[in-house]
Amino acid sequence: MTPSEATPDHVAHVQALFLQHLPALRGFVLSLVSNFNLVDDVVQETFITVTSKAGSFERGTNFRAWTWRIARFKTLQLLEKCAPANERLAPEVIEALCAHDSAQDWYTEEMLRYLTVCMDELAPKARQSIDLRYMQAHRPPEIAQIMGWTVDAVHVVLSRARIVLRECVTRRISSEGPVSGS
Amino acid sequence: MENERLEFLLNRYFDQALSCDEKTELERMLLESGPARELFWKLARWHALFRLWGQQEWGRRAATQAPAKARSVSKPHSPLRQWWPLAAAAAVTFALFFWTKFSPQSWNTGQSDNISGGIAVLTHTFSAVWADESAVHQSGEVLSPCVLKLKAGALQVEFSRGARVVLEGPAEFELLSDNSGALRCGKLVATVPEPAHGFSVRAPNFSIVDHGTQFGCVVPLSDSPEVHVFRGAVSLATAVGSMAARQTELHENEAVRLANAQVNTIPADLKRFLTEEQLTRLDNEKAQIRLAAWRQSSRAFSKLPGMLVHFDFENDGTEGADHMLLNRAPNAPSATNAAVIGCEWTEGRWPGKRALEFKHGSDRLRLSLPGEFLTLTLLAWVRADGTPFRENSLVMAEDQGQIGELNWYLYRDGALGWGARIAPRRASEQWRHVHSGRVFRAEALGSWRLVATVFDGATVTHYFNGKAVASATTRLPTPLHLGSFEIGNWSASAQQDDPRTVSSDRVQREIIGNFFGRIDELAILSVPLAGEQIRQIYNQCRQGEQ
Repeated sequence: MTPSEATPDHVAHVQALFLQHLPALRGFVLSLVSNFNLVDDVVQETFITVTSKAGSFERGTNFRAWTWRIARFKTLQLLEKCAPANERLAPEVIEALCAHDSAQDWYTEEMLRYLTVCMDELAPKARQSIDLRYMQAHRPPEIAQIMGWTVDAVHVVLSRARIVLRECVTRRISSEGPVSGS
Repeated sequence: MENERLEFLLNRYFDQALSCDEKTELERMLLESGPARELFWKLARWHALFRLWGQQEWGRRAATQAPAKARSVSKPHSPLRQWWPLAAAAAVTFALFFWTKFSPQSWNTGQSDNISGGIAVLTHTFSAVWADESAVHQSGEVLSPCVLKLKAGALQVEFSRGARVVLEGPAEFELLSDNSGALRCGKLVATVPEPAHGFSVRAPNFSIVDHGTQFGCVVPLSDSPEVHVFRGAVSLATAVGSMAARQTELHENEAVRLANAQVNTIPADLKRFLTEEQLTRLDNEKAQIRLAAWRQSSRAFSKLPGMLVHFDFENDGTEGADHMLLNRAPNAPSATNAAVIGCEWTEGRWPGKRALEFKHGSDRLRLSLPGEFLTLTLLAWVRADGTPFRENSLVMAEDQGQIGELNWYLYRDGALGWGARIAPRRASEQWRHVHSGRVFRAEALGSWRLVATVFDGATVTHYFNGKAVASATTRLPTPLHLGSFEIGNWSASAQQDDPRTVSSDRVQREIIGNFFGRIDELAILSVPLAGEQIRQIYNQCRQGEQ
């Protein structure tokens, strides 16, 4: 089936698969662009292409691999266009990274649930820095301004907080229940 | 060591903080080493998980107006651990009080428009008369560090750490942090649950650090200040006149008056203060009066000339009223009643006023309004709990690709947005948009706001809380039309012939584009309401609040 031959049913099927993979796709794209604001744009562009090329996707083949290839291409395009040079990885590095990414699951509901619980284990300032970074999408210099700290101090607190959270989630997964994809 | 360096660089990368040299170093490591790439993906997954949590938590907090979530940050401590930070906090507070002067800057009235500065929520107001018209606050507002200046009336503030304060006017109270305030003058009662222990109140002649209490303070403009403890205990630090600094413990049912360089014991008297239970009751009584007044004016509003659709969200006992919103406009055809899909019924502007809550991607109202309109007014009372998507739909015509299709939405940056299709699909410029500039700032989320947009045939004007906030000349090639449309959501046309021809705007909305919050009244008129009329509609519903 060529793109021009895609039936509305097939396009709808492809779009449904896209939505099913959307959380993982967002994670994949975020890793490659690192900029929270660019993720939506890459995902949107990917969706447009996935829809327009739906006819070239064959049912039963690896939808994830097909979509990830498109997303990688869109990422490279948008990084070239929108990201400052020091904030984007070189194309060859992105290619090398993508060749190495074999995981099927990015995260599970259990991980998210444990993470929510583990947030309460953070000291108040560490929690505030995590909130500012991941909830309100501030970069470390902005967080430093809000908290009245140095930027270096914010980096240290964020790094430590992330370690605490990773260890906490991992510990809870191993002690409270098996999950896949961790 | 190498791994530590790599992790350091990866953290910098994910935080967008790499220097050029660091970027080169990281790229070299990633190119040369398989384990480095493995670590990249490992940390990337965590980074993405944290971000996913952040996005969900943002939505959840906005939906529940819960900066109070911060309360749960405190973990149970051993008695020793519990006392140590308390003592430290007390020491810091006393040190602040005695070793610093109150500089004018400390009473600043500036408000951050960033929710990161949100340290409290204004939970109730009763007959509040604000001293400064430019610093009027509404129930439900998230408050950043600021000074609340009341000429009269009362309000309740809930700090993010959990302390609740009822303030009686005339009063000036500065919100200093998520667990402290400064009472310049006036009267307050503070109720401090366990997670907020250490809550402190500064005043010109004394400072209080709570140990888990309910206490009251009076700071009159020209009389002696008083401190009353109704439950638990507080540490009171006093500095009256030239008297040396003194720290005292005040326990349940103890009170002092600070006068003439003396600390005099007086009977604790809760009756002299407005408690939160009394404030809630008064607020509810006032709300019932406002609700009754609104019901009366709403009937007249439905009959305004040009009224096409008026949803008051009231239940008049009609069968199936939970699944169908009746259009109150006179002689409205049945197609203009809206099917309620997915949304949940909840409380509106006042107790007893119904509203619909939109929180899932499938929540929507669906109806049909035939006709073409040279002028149009859109008006709604909304409680936006966030604007997480590019376009958070209010009223969206089904995308048929026809010129004149109308969209009304809150934009991602908090602006009120209006859009009309001016060209068919595949044209280079398909839509004309007019945005208001950011009106849904952090403090506006979670509280009820009147939004209105008027197209008078030549100009689009956006209104926020009765005030015009933006206006732009807009000539359209054809009249506007809505046809089949949705409220609170957006969906593709059922007659869509080729999904591959969708525009990028459309794709974005297909993935995400629902309104996130509550609506409790919505109207569409074929005539352009004047600014004065919109101001009156706003004021009618706000009467008694101030």
